Amino acid sequence: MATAVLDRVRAEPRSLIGPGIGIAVIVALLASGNTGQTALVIGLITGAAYSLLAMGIVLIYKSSGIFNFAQGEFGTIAIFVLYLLRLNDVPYLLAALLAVGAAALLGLVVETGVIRPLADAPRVTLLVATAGVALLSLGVQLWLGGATPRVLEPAFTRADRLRVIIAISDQRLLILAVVVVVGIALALFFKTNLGLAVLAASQEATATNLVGISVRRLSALVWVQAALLGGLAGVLLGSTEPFTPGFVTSRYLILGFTAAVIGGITSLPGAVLGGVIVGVGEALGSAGTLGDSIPGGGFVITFLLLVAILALRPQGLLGRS
Amino acid sequence: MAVTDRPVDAPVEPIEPTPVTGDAGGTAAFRPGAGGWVARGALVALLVAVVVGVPLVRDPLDSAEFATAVVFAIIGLSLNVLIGYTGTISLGHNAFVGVGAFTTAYVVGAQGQPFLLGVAAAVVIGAVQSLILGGLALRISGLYFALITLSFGVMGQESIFGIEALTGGGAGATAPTPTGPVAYYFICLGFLGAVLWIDWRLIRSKGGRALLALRENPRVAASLGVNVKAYTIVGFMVSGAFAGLGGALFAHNAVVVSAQSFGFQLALLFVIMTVVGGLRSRVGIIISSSLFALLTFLVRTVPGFERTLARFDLLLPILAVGVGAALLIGALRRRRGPSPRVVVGAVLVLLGALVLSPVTIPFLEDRLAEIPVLTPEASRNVVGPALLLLVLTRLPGGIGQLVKPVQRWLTGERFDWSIGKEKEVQITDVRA
Amino acid sequence: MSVLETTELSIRFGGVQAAKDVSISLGEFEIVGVIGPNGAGKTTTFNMITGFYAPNSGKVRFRGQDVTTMKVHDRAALGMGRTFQNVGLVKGSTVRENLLTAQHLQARYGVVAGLLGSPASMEAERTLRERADSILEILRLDHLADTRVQGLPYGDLKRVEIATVLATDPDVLLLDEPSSGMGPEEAHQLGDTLLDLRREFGLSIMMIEHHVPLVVRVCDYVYCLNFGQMLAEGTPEVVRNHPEVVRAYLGEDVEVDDPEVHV
Repeated sequence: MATAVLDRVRAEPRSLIGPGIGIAVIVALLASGNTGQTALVIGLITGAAYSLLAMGIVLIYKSSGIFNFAQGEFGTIAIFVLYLLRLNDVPYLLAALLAVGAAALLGLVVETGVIRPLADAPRVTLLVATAGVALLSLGVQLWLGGATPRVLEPAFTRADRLRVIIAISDQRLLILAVVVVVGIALALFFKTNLGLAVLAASQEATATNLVGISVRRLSALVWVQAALLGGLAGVLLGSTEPFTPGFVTSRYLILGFTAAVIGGITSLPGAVLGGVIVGVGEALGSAGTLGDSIPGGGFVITFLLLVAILALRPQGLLGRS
Repeated sequence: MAVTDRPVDAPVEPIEPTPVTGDAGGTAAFRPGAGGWVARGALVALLVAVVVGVPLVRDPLDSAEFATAVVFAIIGLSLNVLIGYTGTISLGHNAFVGVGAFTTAYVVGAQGQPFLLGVAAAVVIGAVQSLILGGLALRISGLYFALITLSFGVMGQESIFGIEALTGGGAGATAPTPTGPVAYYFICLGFLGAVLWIDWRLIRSKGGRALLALRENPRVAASLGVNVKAYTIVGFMVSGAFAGLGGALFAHNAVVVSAQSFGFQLALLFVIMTVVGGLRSRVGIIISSSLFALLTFLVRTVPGFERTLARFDLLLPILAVGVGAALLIGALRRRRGPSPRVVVGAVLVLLGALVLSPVTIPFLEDRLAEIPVLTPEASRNVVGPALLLLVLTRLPGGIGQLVKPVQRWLTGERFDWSIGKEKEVQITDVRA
Repeated sequence: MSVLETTELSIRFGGVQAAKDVSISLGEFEIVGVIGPNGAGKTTTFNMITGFYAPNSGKVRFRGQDVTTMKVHDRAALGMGRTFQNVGLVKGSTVRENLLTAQHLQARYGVVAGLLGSPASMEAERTLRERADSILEILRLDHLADTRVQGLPYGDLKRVEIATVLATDPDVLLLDEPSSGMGPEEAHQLGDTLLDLRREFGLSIMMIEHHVPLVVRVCDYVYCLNFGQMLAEGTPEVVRNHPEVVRAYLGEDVEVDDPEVHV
């Protein structure tokens, strides 16, 4: 793998620009004293959440070529299922597994009912369709559950095991660990035969079908994977704040998309890097004078970052052009 | 060895093209009889009576709701210019509308200027704002641009509209209604008429044709002389101007507007009502937008509506049995063997029957009682997206597709159910 | 002076040299053919002439004016019209609407005037409509005027496309495989149509073609490309029997004197 990376760098020296910028940002923050370092730590912690969502987004984009606006709702559904099961005293691990399973089932339903009928439609239509799925999910949650915030207890309750400038809870550490593990697993997946088949299907569905690979089955597989990932994100993130209907979507989705685009919409490591950058940006935006004068300063910074990346380097920091 | 004896380039009798019957009908033009015209006239008269008469007949306070319907129609038409004509999706239209609203609130409410000046300012600011976004659209395309508009819409709600100096923060900004509610409704109707006129002229002039061409096939448009970039901006500006107008009228109707009034969920609602109305169908969009705006009103006034919504828990199993039976009957009529449809149909029928059966209903009644009633507000959140998905997958022309036969009939053509069918919801041509 | 000429146009995409030093010229009222096997760079050259691609080197001149970097729609304004391999029309609109769109540059009113519906703009629209209808009549397409383009049979599509490009009032027509999908009789008719159009509208025509009898009958001069480079040029007879051209189309083992060889 190291030789592959070196070969690529030798062939396309420009591809160092992206990682270079990423590293430069991190070093600058470390060197810039307390504000920068605090922002970096907060950014890493919150950024891990965005990375989780971004990875699901990248997965769908790599395989279906569309932006999945329903990615957050896989998470919210998992949160609600977990909450309901815990209300009935189902053991945490079992409840979490069932919740993630419910999300996977939702992914399958979405793929069969919405994505597959629109397989030949323009990508923008599919984007609107996934937005419709997200809204429907949100509407059903509002109808059945009402808008009151609820609290889900985390998997681990110790809140200050680790202290790096700020207290980092066990739950947050779990999220970080999951991000690393999932990131590596997905990157490896795309090197397997199945992963390559998925990539082939996304680029040339007819040819893939003709060599005997069922594009329909692959599509279902990918959406179940993405839903599993989304459900996992929900289960992990649902306990970090009181949750409301559409929680994951309203709180994390746009930033997740921004993270995916900044890191490179086709790059899984990019999703992780993008998450960190968005987290840091948000932390910097809310801190200090900027945060005082402009409400929602974090959003402004994120918007500007998004525009800058799309205008200057659309393939993102780690993506290929 | 020659394959045929006849030299390849010998002239042959030219083959006359057979006349193709187009949308206009057969070889003889159809003319409705006297009775036909009377029927058409009656329908038009009925529509006019409803639009003009109902607000006059009902409680004047209801007119505020009717005015909202008109404003939503204007906003839907503005989004139609962007999505249906220019081929660009916007998931942040709430920001456009909100900017128009706060502009007029500032000009009229804070600065005490006349109503029309506030509206004009909102239109101008709306066009300027979309000029900027349009400039971005030239550099960033398709999916990514959709993401930017969504981001813009969220930023609007969270950030720009939160700036106290501009929008009054939590207390909101004031835009007083210039006249009584009934008169204001007719003022809004007047503006809707103006919007429809401009939209009609847009489509019938070089600007609109340029937009439709560049939406579908920018290369061909360019080779026909269309400056694609410039006309994309034109499309954005017209859409932004209409949106600003809608925002201003909305503000004066609501009297007080705050950041909460323009959340990004509103942007998604706008997209839903435009797509469900049917892209490029003005009538469909007007109907769809009005329905979404008037949902609460209709529930209050149309007898039986609320009760139907309230017993949604019973509707579901009834629906399941109905759909399941239809699937089964359809599959059996075509004498297909076991197929997914048969299985799904059978399962649905069984489940539905089980829920409805006297055995289970008492058992489930406690559980069913816990399901909250589907209130009108909630129904907008559930029925809206469900309709959107239905339109996208099954009825691409939306309400416009359903209404087109009636539209054509009104202009004197024969009533033909097959007119207006669309193959898919065509926004742009970029495919996966 | 030629109406349209290219001087040593070259372009590469990544590692592929799609065109190298292509020099073509089209004289006033001439019909010039561009032939060559698939992938020879013919459409690429057209794209450079019309402005869809920017060449790495070389120039394009229209009536002596250097248009190499001019935008596509500006070249259309100068008088360049082109057709596309997969019929270039606005499929969602009717035939007449396509011709109205094609008269975009002849619509002499401002966009705002058009939006507001000024009497001048509505009058101009009437003129455009009349022009569209007269072109449709010439090409015997008037019965299709209100038919949506989508769903028309292929032969009609090609004629509608020619009508549309004629509506732009061009001086030069660049046709990309106008006879593709046509049988021998239709292709012969197309030849008649092209000769008539040249005469009636005063056009100069450059066409990419595979149909050799059509090329031989109609073209005054022919260029043959292969692998992005000029292989041969001359009158149709000369090019057709040129050994290199035969070899490019049929491979190495063919006798040039074989009377049955129709390239």
